[in-house]
Amino acid sequence: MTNSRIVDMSGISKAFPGTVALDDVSLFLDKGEVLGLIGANGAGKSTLVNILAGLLRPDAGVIATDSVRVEFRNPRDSQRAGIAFVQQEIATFATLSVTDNIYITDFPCRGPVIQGNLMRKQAQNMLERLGCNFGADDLIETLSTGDRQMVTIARALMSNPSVLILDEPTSSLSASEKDRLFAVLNQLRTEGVSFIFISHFLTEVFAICDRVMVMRNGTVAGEGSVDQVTMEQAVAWMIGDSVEHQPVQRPHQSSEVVVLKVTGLRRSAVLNDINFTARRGEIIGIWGLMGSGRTELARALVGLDPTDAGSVAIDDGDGLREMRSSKRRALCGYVPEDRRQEGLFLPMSVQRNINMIAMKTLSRFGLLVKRREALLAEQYIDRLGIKVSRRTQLVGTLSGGNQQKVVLARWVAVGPPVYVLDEPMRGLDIGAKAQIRKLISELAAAGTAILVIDSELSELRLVADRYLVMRRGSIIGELDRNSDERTLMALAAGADASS
Amino acid sequence: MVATQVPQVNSEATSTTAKHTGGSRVSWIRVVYFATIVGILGYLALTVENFATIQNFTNVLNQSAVLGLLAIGMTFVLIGAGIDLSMPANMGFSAIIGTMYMNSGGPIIIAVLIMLVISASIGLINGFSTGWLQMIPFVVTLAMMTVVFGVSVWVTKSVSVTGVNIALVDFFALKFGPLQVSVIGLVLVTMIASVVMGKSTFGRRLYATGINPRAARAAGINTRNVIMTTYIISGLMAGVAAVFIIARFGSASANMGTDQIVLDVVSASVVGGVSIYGGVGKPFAAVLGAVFITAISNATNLMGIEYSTTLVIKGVIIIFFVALDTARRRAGKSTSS
Repeated sequence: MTNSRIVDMSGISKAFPGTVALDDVSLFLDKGEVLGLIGANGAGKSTLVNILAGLLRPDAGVIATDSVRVEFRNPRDSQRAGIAFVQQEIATFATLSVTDNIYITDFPCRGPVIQGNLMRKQAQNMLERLGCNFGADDLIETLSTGDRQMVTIARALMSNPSVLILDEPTSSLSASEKDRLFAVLNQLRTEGVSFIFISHFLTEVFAICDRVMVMRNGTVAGEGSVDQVTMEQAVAWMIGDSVEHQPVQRPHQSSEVVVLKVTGLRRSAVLNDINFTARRGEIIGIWGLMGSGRTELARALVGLDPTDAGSVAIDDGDGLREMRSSKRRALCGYVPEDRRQEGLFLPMSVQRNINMIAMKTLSRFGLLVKRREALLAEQYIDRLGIKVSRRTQLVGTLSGGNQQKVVLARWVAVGPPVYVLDEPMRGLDIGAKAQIRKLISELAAAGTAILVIDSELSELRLVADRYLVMRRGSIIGELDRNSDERTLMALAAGADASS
Repeated sequence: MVATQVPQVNSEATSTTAKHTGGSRVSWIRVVYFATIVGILGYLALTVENFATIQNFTNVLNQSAVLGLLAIGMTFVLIGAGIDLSMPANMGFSAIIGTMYMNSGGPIIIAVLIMLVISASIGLINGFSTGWLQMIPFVVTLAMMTVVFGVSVWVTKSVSVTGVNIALVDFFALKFGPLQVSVIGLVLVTMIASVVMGKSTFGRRLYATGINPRAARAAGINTRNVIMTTYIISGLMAGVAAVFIIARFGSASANMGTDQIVLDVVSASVVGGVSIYGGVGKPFAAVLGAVFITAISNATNLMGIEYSTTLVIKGVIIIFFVALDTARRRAGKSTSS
């Protein structure tokens, strides 16, 4: 058995400033084996395969390939050892040909001249081996998403790897494209290639893999052959046997008045037929695994991204009416996922950041009135408990929690009927998280409808009144506030009985 | 594997030092910035005869009005992270049409209105293309510059047009002390622009859009309209500058809007501390930049330096100040992250 062990990682640890991403993790892979690597968001899967691909260096631990100890200083070292990595983001160059894309990292040259004919012939051979129905001279921009995925796999296979790492290869594929990918994987397996297959979708993992390994919080939560492990067991490992948190005992405030109604919202390849309503005083948790379309839903809903079909109606005080996207941008208090890149105006003061949306009410004949500006800023610094030395302090100098409060304060100051909060607690310390949660509850109590996206299920369960569960751009289920983590995780990962 | 903890410690250490050096780098850049300006002016004052006289200084001020107005317009566009290369051509075209209208006996006030409407309309086309159609400002305004300049040459057959109403010329030649009406006009426009930029809701939205367009959109700002408005303003300022320039020369020609002036306008703004990356700048400082650039032209004139050499000097100045702008931006980034 040992002579067929092609990869053996043991005792791998890796820390990033502030977090431990991997703690004493071991992973092995036999020749021709397909290993399914699963786990919730942030469990450490990506860090682990990044180390194997030479993109990250471990703090501790040993890697061996073919029973020889190796050290990967960079991706090239890993490639030389026969490991190829197909990353999650499909990195292709739209205006270049398939051939150029396949060879982009290493063009075969004679002197300074690229050997175009040789390249094209080899690329064509590879495409035939993968059963692709497009040619080596086709431009990437003429190909479908699935075909582009094939090009990245072809690129990875050019070096004749013995191990292929696939990170979420199916997340953007249609059902037929997925079947074709699996057929290719099975064929490559008979040729002796081993795979590490990362996916959020348990049904896929159990269909294609020989063995599954479940990670949680940077450790191995469990592993075993797919014949012996059930999906329920895998979900249990993903969540862990920590004590189930009780959902918040918040008085159920939601009234029967609908303030947000989404009908048939659609965006090609991103969102499918989204329908739901939100009532006054209600906090809805949008739950799904990475790539399920949560952020895309938020952005389409608040009018930042275009949609192909569907409508959004909002009650702005004059009854529920359909709103154009420009109108929605003003009526939905949107807190974006990336605070620094999308939320804040870093070179500006706290006051200016807070006043950005309420500005109209602070001006006379289009000119801002200093006193009104100061008053409003002070009022919301006070109300949200933002810790500043002066209201003119630069917002970039605040802590994460206080920055997040500034982004929220901006909307609270204008009182929108709907809030859409994308990862409002990401990167905050426990104290700040609790404060943001309290604030969310207060806003709901004041009669708004709030949608919250959060990758941390236990965190989401502390605020949500009910859940919309997303998978592959669709809402696949609606669960009430008493649903446990296991049910939520199983539904998001496609391990429920219905799929 | 002994060195396990080292990378983490290292990265923390470097991030704190980056903070410190970032802060001192910003102030260091400021010192270089002012030292360069003072150094150049000081050098010219000491070496160029008749440069550092009160009479020459008022001369420079009187001459810098048109450039100052253009720089104010450019400042609005630059703060929104755009650029308007068509401003001088726009000014030349408005000047020609206004002069032709007055030559045919039209009243001054209508002529001025026509000039402002024409220039603002050209700005509107630029603004719609860049703001709403998301076209690249550099290409749009470069093409617009060529089109408008071409039409100017075609309309005038490359001959300068005369017939500016003498009352307009006389009015602008009036002096209050040593300063002409044009300087007072520039001061007034600068004050209005400063209020709009510093105190109006539009100005605040414009800074926000220039600093972070994604965050501006997420905060419900209609960034497309904001950007479009900056080009209407730059167009309008080209029209105001056109009024000033025909009043000064009593005539108009297509050559008033050559691409050489584009260089001066961009130089004035950048020397005045307006960032070509958007989000940073003040109209008043851009006007000071215009005075500085006019002083350089004036000094090279007094020294009898050839025109070609002057171009080299101005080109070097613009590259140097853009380098400082870029250094400031990078230093600022490392402090705020």
